[in-house]
Amino acid sequence: MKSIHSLKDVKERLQAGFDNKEDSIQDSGERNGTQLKAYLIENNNVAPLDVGSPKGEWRELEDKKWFVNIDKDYPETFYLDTTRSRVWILYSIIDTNHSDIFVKDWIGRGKKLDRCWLSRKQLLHWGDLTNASWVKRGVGLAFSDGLSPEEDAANFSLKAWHGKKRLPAGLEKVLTTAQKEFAIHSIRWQKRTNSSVDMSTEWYSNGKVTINRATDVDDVFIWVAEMANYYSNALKNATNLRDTTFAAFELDFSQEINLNAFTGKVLNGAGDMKLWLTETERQKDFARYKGVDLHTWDRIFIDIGTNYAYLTIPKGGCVNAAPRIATIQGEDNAGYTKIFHEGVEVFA
Amino acid sequence: MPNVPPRLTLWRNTIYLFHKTTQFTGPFRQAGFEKYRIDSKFLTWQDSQERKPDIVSSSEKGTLVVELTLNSDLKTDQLTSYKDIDTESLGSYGLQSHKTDPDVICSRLEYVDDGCFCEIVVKDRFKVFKPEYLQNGDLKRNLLAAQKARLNLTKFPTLPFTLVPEMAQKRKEIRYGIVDGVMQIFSPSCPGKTIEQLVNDGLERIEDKISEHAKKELQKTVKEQMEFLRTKFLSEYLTEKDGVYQKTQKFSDQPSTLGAINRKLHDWATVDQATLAKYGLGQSVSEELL
Repeated sequence: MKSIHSLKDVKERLQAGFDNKEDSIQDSGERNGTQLKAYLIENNNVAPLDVGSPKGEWRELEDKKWFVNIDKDYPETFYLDTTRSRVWILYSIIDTNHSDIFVKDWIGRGKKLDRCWLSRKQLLHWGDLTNASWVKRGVGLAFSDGLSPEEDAANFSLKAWHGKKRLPAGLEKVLTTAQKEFAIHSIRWQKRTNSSVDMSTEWYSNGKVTINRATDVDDVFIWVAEMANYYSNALKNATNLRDTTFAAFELDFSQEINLNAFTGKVLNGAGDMKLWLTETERQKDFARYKGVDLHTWDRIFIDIGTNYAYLTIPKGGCVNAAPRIATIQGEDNAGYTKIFHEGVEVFA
Repeated sequence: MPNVPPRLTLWRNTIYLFHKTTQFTGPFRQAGFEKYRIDSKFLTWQDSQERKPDIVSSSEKGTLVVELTLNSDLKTDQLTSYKDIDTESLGSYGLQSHKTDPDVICSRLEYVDDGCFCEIVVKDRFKVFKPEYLQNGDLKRNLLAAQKARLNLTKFPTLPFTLVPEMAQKRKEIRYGIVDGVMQIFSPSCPGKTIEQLVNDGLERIEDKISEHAKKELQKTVKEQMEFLRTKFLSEYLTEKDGVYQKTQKFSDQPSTLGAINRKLHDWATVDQATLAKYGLGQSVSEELL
């Protein structure tokens, strides 16, 4: 196989993968081969070569700010686009199970990287674009009831891949009700031209997208970049609001949370929320905490009621904490969570 | 961890009144008082005596001095002394100069009658007393409007500052104020923190509103309390080199270690004789560190 030295080489390899898959769909109806994945990565002032690669080391391509990984076991399987300073795009052609582990480990090494945590409005962004024919093809909801003891936890997950433009009778009602209460974990979007499918994608709330099917690699790059730009602008706006006002980010939960259980989780920095806090005030239905967010170790203040929270991120702290906490808290214990700043929905 | 110190509640709830969000505009801000200085030095116009009120602000229409106190003693004399502040020199701090006497207000968490001065109580529901002593009609009107609206101060979002200059002599409050800054030292990527950084972290949004001298005073107490923490509570996990507080090699970011450090930080922040006995310290710690 031809080695990768330029962006053109990357695109050729990915295009070959798409073409093979289309051939196998034509021949057998099966989608063989691994799917391309892209991860949107929030970068807080680090250089690509300083953070290493999810597997091996980076080598810069002839096209500046693009990198490919060098590794003994998984060579040339990750491609990194750092042309945007704040939001990078990491492409992977490794199978999902391994790829997700490598990426999680890479981000978790404490080097100022984080995922881009997509709000519901961002996940639904494609439906707002009138100039492109994106069709929603399914939705996945998640609620792990993470503040309850394991034996009592009311775990809930729903994946409704309806696959046709018109939903089966009754499903729309179920989905509408469920989406009011629970966080969206993923959405499937399909891009169509006339009657043919250009691209099938599944976008996840943790900033990952799986390209289930595509015909044109440029098309894929352009649309993934669209979300990266959209998120990058949201971060910029939120940072500006934080720096110029005294207001906090406000998270509105659809599910009531148990303040005692919340305290139990955050004192030791345990669980998916990755918050290491101390409780500083407690009323019957309200508590204040301060401490650090273990993803970035930035200081944060959280004032929390049973169905809302104020999140204050001091200057210099990364505002990506707001969508992260909203997403994780939402899927863990708080249900559908919206983020507001001064009464206006942000990260939307 | 102890509750938010009442002094911090008093300061945060008073500072809030100078600020504006979409859903809330503080009555001071509504009356045109936006910029303010904290714990800054002024001279009296008659005999150039130094005065250092807690907050000084100015609007198009006049000057406002706010004294904040938890003390139940009368503040009448102190409030009277602020009437003579030379408001023409406010420009030295980037505030608008005036040629009229300032309006002086005392802010407390519990009402105490300070005589012929306007007073506000910023605990639970906002209250204003004796507004008739204010010259500035806009100020008077907006304070009364906030009272009428039963402005609830108990569930406001936390303002991010945890230190104020007055805490320089309050060791327990200083410990509360820097706990989260200390927690950050244990970040895998944190090279450590200096005393100056810990103080600036704690002052956050009000850092540019106070004097360098006030910062130095805070730094002295923070240094003393960090040494107390390092030597008596976290000697396994915290070290100091060339003025930088760093984590030791023994630290790992496992929940068990984070929990253990949190407990020790709690003990340090709430230190009393029983805590000292728990650590086998007893008489070896001087009272003034508490």
